[in-house]
Amino acid sequence: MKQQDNIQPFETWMRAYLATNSQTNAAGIDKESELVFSKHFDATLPAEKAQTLLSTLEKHLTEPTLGSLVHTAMARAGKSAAQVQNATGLPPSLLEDIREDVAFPNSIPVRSLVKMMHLLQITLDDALAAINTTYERLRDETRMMQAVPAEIRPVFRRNTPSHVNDPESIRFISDAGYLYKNRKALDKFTARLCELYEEML
Amino acid sequence: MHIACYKGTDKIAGSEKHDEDPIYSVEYQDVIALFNKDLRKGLAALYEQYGRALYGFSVTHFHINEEEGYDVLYQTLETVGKVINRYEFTSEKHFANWLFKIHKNNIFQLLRTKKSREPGEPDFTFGDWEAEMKEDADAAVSLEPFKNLINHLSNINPYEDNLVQNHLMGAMEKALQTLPDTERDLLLLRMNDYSYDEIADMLGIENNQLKVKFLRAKAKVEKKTLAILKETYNETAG
Repeated sequence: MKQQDNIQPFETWMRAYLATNSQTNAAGIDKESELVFSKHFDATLPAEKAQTLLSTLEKHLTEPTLGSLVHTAMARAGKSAAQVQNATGLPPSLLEDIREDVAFPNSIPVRSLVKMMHLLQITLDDALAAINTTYERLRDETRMMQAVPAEIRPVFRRNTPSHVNDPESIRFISDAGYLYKNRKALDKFTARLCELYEEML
Repeated sequence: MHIACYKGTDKIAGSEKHDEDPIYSVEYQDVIALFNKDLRKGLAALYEQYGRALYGFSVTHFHINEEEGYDVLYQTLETVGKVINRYEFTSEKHFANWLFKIHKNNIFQLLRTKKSREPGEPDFTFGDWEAEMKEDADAAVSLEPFKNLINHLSNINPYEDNLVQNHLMGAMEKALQTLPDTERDLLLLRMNDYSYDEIADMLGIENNQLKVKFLRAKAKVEKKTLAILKETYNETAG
């Protein structure tokens, strides 16, 4: 027997269909979002929980990424991009990708990354944490772009390096399996990073 | 678009009016600009301008509890917060649509995860199926030809990813495509728990017997879905 009187069998299937087929045309989203954002809902988060939400978000979003770590370290060490490129062998576009957090960390040649860490005096712990943050951001960003219809996807902002603004260079991945492999690949990459960090001291 | 100032520690900077007049206009570009200047203020503006509505929508329309609503909203604002400075939008509507779509995806992700793990999905009888079909008074459809199929499928969890569920979803997709656009939109929006008035507004139609039209559309899709599934299983058995 059904557990709740107001649930109907075919509607249960339909609701499951909606939850598993979330691609909707842009025109449908247009009307829905207009209605939702203009509507008053009785259900609201208690003020205290809203504060917790904002505080937790703030803490999480201020965790350093690899890009921000490299930015800060370059400024602290007084090193220019050219100096970092010469010392590490990183091509200019890749260094830019790293600083802009558009490169999956395990796409960076590991030896070059270790050289950069030593040059800029970035500790292994800081680098590992930042690498993980960047990986998760790019993973979530990729998923977001895949899940949003093309008509409502945003574009990269204008002052992004030109090669980065080319969708082909963003390294957005169409195959979800690759994301899984990328996490495994990332773990292997960070393991190798740890080995080399010690070896190259 | 006007929003209320979030009183307390998260007053939004950049407005000429602060404590005396809490209502002022903030465009989405201002929210993005705030993210660059002051993350906390940017988050507060994002929450006030959009987050409150997203939370209310998810809890009201999808019957999730406060904790689940919090988690989904957190996920949405986290995703947006991570990328908001990297992107450009063509208009307020573009930004709002993008944000809304992300949130809806997160709600559905929550529902899929939650319901695929829930034991004891409602155990519907054939009588329940017949009662539902009879709601459409015009439906002269007997479900007897589908009785075996319905009994076979009655214990599946439609949120659990497996071959049977895939057949079901595929059949439903095909059935929905046989409906005219407006009927299909009516059906799907009603499944998202919008009222008939809201649906009429969104579709630009009159709320003229929309409930009857909904029930008819549902009956059509149900019949077509079951017919496609029966054919699928007959082909498999044959």
